[in-house]
Amino acid sequence: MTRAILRRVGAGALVLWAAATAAYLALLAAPGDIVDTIIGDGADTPVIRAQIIREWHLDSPPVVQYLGYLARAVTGDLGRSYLLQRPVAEVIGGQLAPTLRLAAAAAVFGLLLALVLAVAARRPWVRRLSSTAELVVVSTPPFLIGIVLLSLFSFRLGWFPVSGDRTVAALVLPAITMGLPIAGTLAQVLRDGLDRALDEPFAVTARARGLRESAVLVRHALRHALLPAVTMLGWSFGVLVAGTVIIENVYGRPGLGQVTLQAVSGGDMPVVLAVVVLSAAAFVLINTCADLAYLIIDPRLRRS
Amino acid sequence: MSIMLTRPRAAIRTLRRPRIGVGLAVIFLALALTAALRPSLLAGDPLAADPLHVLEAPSALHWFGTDQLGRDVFFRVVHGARHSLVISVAAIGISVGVGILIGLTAGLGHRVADEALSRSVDALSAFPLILLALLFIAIAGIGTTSLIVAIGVALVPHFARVVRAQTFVVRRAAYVTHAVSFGTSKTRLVVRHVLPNVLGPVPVLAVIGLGEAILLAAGLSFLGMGPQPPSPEWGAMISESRGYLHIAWWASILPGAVVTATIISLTVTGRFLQRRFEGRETV
Amino acid sequence: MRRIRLAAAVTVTLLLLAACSSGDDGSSGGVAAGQPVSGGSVTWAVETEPITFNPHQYSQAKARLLVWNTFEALLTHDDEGGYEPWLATGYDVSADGRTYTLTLRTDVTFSDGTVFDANAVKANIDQLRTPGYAPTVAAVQLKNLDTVEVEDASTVVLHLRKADVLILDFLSSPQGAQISPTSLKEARDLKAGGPELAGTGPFILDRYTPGQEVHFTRNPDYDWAPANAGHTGPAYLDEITYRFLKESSVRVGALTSGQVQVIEGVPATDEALITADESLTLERGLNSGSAYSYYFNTAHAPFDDLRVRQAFREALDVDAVLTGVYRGTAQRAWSVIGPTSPFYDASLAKTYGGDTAEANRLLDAAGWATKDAEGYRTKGGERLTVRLVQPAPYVRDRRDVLAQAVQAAVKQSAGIDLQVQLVDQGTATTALTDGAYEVFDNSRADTDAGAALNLLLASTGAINRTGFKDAGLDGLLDAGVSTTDAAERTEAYRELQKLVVTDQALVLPLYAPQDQVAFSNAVGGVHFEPTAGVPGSAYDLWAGK
Repeated sequence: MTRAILRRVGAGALVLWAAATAAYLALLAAPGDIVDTIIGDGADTPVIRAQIIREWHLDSPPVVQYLGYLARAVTGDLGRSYLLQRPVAEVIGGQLAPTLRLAAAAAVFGLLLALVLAVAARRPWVRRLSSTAELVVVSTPPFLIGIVLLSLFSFRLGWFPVSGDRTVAALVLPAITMGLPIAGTLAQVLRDGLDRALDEPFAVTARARGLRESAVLVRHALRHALLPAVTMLGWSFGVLVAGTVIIENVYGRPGLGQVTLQAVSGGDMPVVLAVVVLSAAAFVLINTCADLAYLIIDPRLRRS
Repeated sequence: MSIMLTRPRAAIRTLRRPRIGVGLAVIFLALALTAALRPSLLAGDPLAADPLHVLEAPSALHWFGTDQLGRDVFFRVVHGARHSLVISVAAIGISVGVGILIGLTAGLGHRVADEALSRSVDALSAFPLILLALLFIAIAGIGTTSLIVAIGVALVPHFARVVRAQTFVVRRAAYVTHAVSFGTSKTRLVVRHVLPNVLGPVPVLAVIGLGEAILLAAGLSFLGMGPQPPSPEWGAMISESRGYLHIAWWASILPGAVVTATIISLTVTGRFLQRRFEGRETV
Repeated sequence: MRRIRLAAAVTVTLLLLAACSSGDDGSSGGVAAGQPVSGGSVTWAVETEPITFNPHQYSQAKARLLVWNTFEALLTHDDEGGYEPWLATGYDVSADGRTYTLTLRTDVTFSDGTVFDANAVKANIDQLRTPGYAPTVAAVQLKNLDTVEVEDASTVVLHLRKADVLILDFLSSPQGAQISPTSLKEARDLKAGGPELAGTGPFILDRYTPGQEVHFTRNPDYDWAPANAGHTGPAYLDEITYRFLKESSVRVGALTSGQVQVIEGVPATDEALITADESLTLERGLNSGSAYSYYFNTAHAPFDDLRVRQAFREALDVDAVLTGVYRGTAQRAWSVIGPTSPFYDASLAKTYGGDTAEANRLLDAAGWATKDAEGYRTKGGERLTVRLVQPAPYVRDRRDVLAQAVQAAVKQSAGIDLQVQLVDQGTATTALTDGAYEVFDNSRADTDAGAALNLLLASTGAINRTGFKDAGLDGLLDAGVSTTDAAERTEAYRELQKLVVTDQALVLPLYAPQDQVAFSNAVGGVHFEPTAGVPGSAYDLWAGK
């Protein structure tokens, strides 16, 4: 058990190291002078250039530069944005809360909707309807869903605020927009799991004991169906991160997505790199947790 | 959208009578392909503006209405197909090429090479696609080439993983062990025996991947990271016209509907092919 | 005390204020029933997020309404382009026009407790002349300023090297607004401004959330409103929030759904939504200063050739593109000077433009005679490409859409390839410094159009993007500021307009910039700034119950 856990954690650390290294190599691969790349569109003065050379150890051999970068990444020092004239940690930290709120709300909404869809899909016509709806939802660009919901429920009906993150109500539409594709995919997985679980011997036994179908479904099958959904955690995280970039733009919400977008268009590399490495870290954390959860749930895996 | 490697049984049951759906999807894709290759067959000048006829509703003259500059939205959507096709096909080309290379090397190579490559692929997929694409654009600058390479690289893991898994199956297969015992050269072995047999799922994955690439490209263009105005790129069109949504829904919704229809068609066709070629079910 | 007054009355501003679509009497102040009440709060959605809150660094006309909440200038304007006292109680000009003596109010304190006096005025001007701090102001507005002398606590004397009437315009401009000397010394990020900078205005900026909003609370000690304000004493509102909503549809949606009470920047396509609603009012004000124009870069090909510049103007049917984008709400401009200015030469109207045949003839004559596969003109294998670089923070009134309309029009009519790049400010600055552009777009809401022309057209002008340097032109600009005589000034500017618009075709004037403000009838006191024609500060604003 301990070995299996260590193995998973080690693999996670390895992925994280590879991600940080890849981001660093990407910076080196950028055309032009590395100092120019780091400054981006920020103020360009000799003092700032000297500061960048010091901070990124650019006057040292490449190995030292790289190790220095890793050392700073490990200690949580994300560098400085020369465009915004602020430490990256401060830039990102200040925008983290609204993004996390949105992601959490979207994840909860997506999961609940998926559960409802999967359970309701016991009836054939509901199943057909919902699988068609799922196909449409996962095939529609999220920004299109966003602008339609926005113009309908905010502009036309005035039910929700049009922009910003001032009230809980402002969270509703963005969370729905972001949660829909998650629900669409999760519902497929859950429904599949339910189908399989209901054919399992335990379900047959339960029915034989005289349990009603709905009781079999909720008390036994659903639990089994949820397991494969856990593996979708990592995938959902990717959808959520991608979602923040687009959804925050559509709804004019503050957050990491907006920071990222501004950093990309302003050529603010320190911020871009930090966002990429942080996302990879979060992804690794979530996947490692999911793996560990699996180990705990399914003892067969512990031996491998 | 994710590529579902396992077929949900529910999906099979509902899609057992998919002939109409598949037929429609194929017709739509044929139209989209025509639009991409010979747009002049279907539509006129996508850049011709008429300031005296802006934001006009769909009519017999302008099937999809006109946009804020008085350009025909239908013409623009038709011409936009080329952007989407070029971007998605080129991107998938990169993903497939690099994916096969990595997959084969990992599947046939030493354990250490396999471990290293697999972990790299894991790391690559650790970046959410859009972030990876944005990172690339931040470095290489905004433009169609950046977009293609970014999406291409972002989708490599899908193909690398499948090819690797297939390679493991194939290298243990009888014909490969036989060939080895006959002393076939390694290159010949890979090219003649392994490669053709590991590629099986790739075309189908590529079809579904095209949809993902189009969705990603539209998203990035919507954010202003793709072809610049006045290019009739679908995502950019939706973005430019969204300020007029409440008075001219057609200028942004209709291009959006075409994007959705294209991706659905690709998914439906891809799933259909998946069923056919995996031979698990006769359709 | 002699007061300089511009003879030509700028009554146009007033007339235009009355041109509001909902048909109220047009007097400043909304139609909200009842008397102003004290207290409450208002949320106002604005199009432009300022790139700085330091008034010295001010460069966005759309940010002007925010400046005057926190900061005040020494002088202000009446409705007719004349000057009124503000933080100065008056001024005196020597006969040679080279010495300005300002007397100051003695009852004013900055919101950080620092006393406003002659030393504060000197500290502000010294700061403006610090190298690298505000190069544009130092090089243009203050170019003729020699020394600043503190005579006593309430008297300050400006000595000029030569006569320059625009010094008064500077003293009434946002760049001439007074920042607390304490802030000037201690602010960590002086150029960016924000809550750190104390002013004397009726509100205090206490919270700024980038990308979202800026929040002001009432300055309870405020008691020095200028005579052109609607009331005296502290502001009516306890607090006011300005939210930055870049998308016009989002602003209009926020107003019609009651989430904000006031918006500015109402596109023509959305006006019907406002006017259809009984509880909303729409008002428009035409800005002073220079017209929104395209300036041609004459430093290199193809616009180094007069014929190509003329051809570009002839290739474009300005009325058609304005109708398409602004639905008949925009007033076409015919000169680089805006039509509300007393210096505007109305005889330029209809003297050029919109002649496609002439455009093509001119381009043929200039050697751009062949066309490539895409229909663009070429010369020696090179396409007739011109680039317009638009920095996003300055784009307003859907000027990006207008640019695309122009782009399509000049391609269709004359085969000109206009490339429009909407970029962030840093990229735009780089492109402009490197000369990587052929078209530059600009409008300036200076209260005296001469101030705008000095920046845009003088050889040494900070935003002279035409690359056109001409002693005759500089002479006319000097003549325009060296006399207080309105007729002489008008004559100088008339000749100047003939030179740059008619003879040299340096500019393609497009439209007279205007501001639109729409507001809920529960709000009163919405007004436009006298002479400038831009939305006024929140000082007179009040919220009804």
